[in-house]
Amino acid sequence: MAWTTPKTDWETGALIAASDMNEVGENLATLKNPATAVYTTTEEITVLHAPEFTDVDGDNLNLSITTAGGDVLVHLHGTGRRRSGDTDCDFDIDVDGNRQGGDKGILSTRLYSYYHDLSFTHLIQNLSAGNHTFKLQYKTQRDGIRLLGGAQFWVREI
Amino acid sequence: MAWTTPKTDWEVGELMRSGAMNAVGENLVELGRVRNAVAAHTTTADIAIANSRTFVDIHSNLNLTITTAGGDVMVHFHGVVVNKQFRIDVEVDGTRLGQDEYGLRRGDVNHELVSFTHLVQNLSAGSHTFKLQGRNHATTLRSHAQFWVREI
Repeated sequence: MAWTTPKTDWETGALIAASDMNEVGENLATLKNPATAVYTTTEEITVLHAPEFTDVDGDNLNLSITTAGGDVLVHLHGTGRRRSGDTDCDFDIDVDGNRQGGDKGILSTRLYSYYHDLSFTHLIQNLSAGNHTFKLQYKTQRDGIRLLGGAQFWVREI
Repeated sequence: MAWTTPKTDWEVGELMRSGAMNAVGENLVELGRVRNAVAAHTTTADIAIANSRTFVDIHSNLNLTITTAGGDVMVHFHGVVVNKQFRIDVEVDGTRLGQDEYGLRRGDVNHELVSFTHLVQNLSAGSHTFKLQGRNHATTLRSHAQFWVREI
């Protein structure tokens, strides 16, 4: 439901209209149930060499929420594993076709051991009201990485 | 107080009864309660994680309990793990959240910063216990690690 700026200028004798009460109910519902989408991977995902940002998993790590307009948190946590030698790897979020980060995304790291922590919580501010799509993307300069099962990607309106 | 689905179909001329206004107030109380449904612990000293081939509790202080009205909960951990070969997971009411073999996080980097905020959805109403667990080889969790859970 849409958020409406609450009326805070009531005066003595002002009549409460049905629309006023409906706005109160809709605002309460919006506060109680902020738009949320989440996907937890169930098995290892292998992503290959990609010189340009590419979806990690276009089917599942591709989340949509319908917001009332405002701020959204986007979070990833998981364990990355290199496929061979030290591997530079950049992660980013594509929101409605626009990447949030720079040339190296929002999380740029080097997988120099077999297992490596991958985690970020990214705040996106002032997103318009409506439906929005969030895709986890990556690029690597070597032969790719593995994202172990149990990684979680979520978005939540706040 | 219990959450009541807000009434959003008021019609012109409909009487506003006390029950309807009480429901508005109770829902506001419930939103305020959720803001306080949180448990947290920040470690004050290094903790030696037991050497174990299975996931075991890291420390009794890292066992947190909250009572929820049912719904979603965020579980967060951040801290630095010393020595290699660690695995970390969270157990909720006796069931681990992560992958069978390596939990929520597997690492083998010395002095690695580990951080996650895991979203648990559709937890039932009632009391729930969250335990930070490890499966490690001579690993230490550095002081000032933090583990928290929060109903959202």
